[in-house]
Amino acid sequence: MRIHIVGKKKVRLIIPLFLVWLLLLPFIILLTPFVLLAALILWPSGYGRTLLGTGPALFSVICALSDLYVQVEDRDSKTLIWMK
Amino acid sequence: MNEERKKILEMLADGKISVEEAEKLLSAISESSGETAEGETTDKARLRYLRVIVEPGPGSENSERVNVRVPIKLIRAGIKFASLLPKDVQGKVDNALKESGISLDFSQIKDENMEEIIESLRDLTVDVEGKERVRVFCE
Repeated sequence: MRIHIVGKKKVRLIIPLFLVWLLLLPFIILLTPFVLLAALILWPSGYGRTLLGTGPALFSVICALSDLYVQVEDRDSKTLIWMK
Repeated sequence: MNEERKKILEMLADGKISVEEAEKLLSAISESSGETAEGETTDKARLRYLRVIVEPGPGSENSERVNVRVPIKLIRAGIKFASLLPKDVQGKVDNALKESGISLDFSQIKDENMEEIIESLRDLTVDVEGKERVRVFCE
């Protein structure tokens, strides 16, 4: 998945998302035990399910971003965000 | 009874074709009509994007154009995400929406209702013409 941003100065920015995932991976691995522990503690209050489900749901939202296309243009500028 | 089926039966009655040939022809017709039905189903399943287009209206000085294409799978993922919210948070969201004039029962947004919500988007068409022309539709 890539993000294309074409701005006013015709700067084309392509961000490969797999690099973002690679950078986030160590943090995810480190945080997982704490999240599981917090989910266990919060389970009676009903927030545990939310906490456990947030990660996978967020991941599915990010994956579903592919093909999102936002284009705003006027006489002088054109901005394009395209998750490819 | 459609025309093709009628013709085949007439040909069979006139003795122009045998029973086996008529059977083959009839099954070929049923298969092709089945394909059409399948094609319609595929067409129905092809709802992929929610489009929002804003264009300057006639005589408008504003030249801003907005073209947004939101994948339906993103809406699906969003609904799934929203269904995870705890009940008290859903209540707060409901109240905030009510204050903004939107009457929406957030507790009704569940995984089971997802297909129904997505399916109802199929008929969504908003066309507003003024200084700007705004179109919202699904494709």
